[in-house]
Amino acid sequence: MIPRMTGLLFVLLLLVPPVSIRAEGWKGWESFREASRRVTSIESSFVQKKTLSILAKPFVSSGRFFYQPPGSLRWEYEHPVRSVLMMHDGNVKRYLMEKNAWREDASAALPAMQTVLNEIVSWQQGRFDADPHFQASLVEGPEPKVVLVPREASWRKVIRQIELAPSQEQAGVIRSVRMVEDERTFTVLEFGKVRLNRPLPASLFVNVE
Amino acid sequence: MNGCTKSPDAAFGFVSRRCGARQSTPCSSRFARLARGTGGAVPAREALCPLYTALPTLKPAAPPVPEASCRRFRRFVLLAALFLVLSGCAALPTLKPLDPSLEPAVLEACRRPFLTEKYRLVHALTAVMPGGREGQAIGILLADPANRIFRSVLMTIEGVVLFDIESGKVLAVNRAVPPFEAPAFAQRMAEDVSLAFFSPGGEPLAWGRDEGGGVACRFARPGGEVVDVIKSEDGAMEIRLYGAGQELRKKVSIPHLERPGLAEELEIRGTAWWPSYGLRMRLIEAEPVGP
Repeated sequence: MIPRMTGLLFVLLLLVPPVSIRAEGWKGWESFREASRRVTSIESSFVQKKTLSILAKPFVSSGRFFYQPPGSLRWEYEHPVRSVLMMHDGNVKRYLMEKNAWREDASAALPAMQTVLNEIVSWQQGRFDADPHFQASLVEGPEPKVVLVPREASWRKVIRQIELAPSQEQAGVIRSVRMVEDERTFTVLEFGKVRLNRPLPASLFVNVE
Repeated sequence: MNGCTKSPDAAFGFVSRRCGARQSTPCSSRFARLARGTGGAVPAREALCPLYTALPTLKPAAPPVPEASCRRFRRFVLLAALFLVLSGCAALPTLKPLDPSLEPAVLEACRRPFLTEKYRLVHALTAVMPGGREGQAIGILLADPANRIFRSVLMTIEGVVLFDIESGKVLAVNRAVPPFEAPAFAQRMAEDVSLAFFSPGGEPLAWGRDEGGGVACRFARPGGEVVDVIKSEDGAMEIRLYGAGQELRKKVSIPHLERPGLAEELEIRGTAWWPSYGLRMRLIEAEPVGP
């Protein structure tokens, strides 16, 4: 259960850029569903900052993200560790760069990624309220955000909540994701250079290079 | 039994650093050669029945030993020798003596792989599991070599913390997400950290030339374990952990070491564990931490 959960938590992070909501026009799940239907592709860069009590400053990673409906995705870490996760036609592959060569990751976690593909589709369609694993709520205010809280206690041992913050400047784009594990342990993903609805080659989601 | 006393260091296959270059003696090398299968010119009867060949000298008035008894004894000694040969596979490698004037340089080389002050290290980890499966993670280590304590966090590239342990008087597991929740995993990780980053001791039991041609220091550890630190002629370093039965249990390989204690790359390989495993580490960040 927990390995699946870990995979799902990771995929939740992957899901974020496709979440297309208009900050000003957020009227609940329906508006999200409507916005997501208009997205034909997303390209963005990202910076990930991990805060831990053992660290004096956040550990920073960066990379690129690509998404194309209905279920093609490429999540690529470029620094400091190179790694590519791709999903296309229901197939999940992960590659790790080591000594200037890509190696396919055949770890046991990969089947779990396959399992959560259905979750991805569900989120892309804006069905937050129907998610069996997370209770979603909207926090209103100058900077609205969607807060996702695990429904099961076993999940809450690993993650307390996930917060999705829509961009105020760029409609239909999530600005950041904050995944909280405990008071002193959390991960913040900030997306930038977002380009929407440009044609993306299918090879991007199949070939590592 | 034949008037010879085998010194403990020779029996264990190393040379005491205080003894300097040890000369072979007729007493010392017979069993060693026999055990290693390099018997040389030792006569078979003398080798297999030393007590019997000594008897006439010790007891000149004793009656002749029956041939059947000697055969049984030979059989016993043959089996014992076979045991020694087989157990020799798990024996510690011999360290050949070097010129005593080289001692400071050798000991300095043996200290280089280990941290000398408190550091925070971040590594990219690649775990190699049985069947060649690989998985990648980020490891964060806050290590205090003076007190031999550390905290280590293992997380996915995406930032999900999988494992968090802290060593002190006891090993505390702050978080362990399956499949890392087994206590043996925490113990193994703690041993890996200690082996790779903490000096095995102040003064070595012995030092000399390793069988591979490098220079080496041998340290004793609690419980009868032994740690060898070896610097090869090409500058690569290796740290080997031997169990109480002198079997090789783990090996840390450092291909290049420019900064003491801060290997850019290293690999830890468990050789006696089942399933076996390997852990490749690439240093991403290194930051000294004040007291």
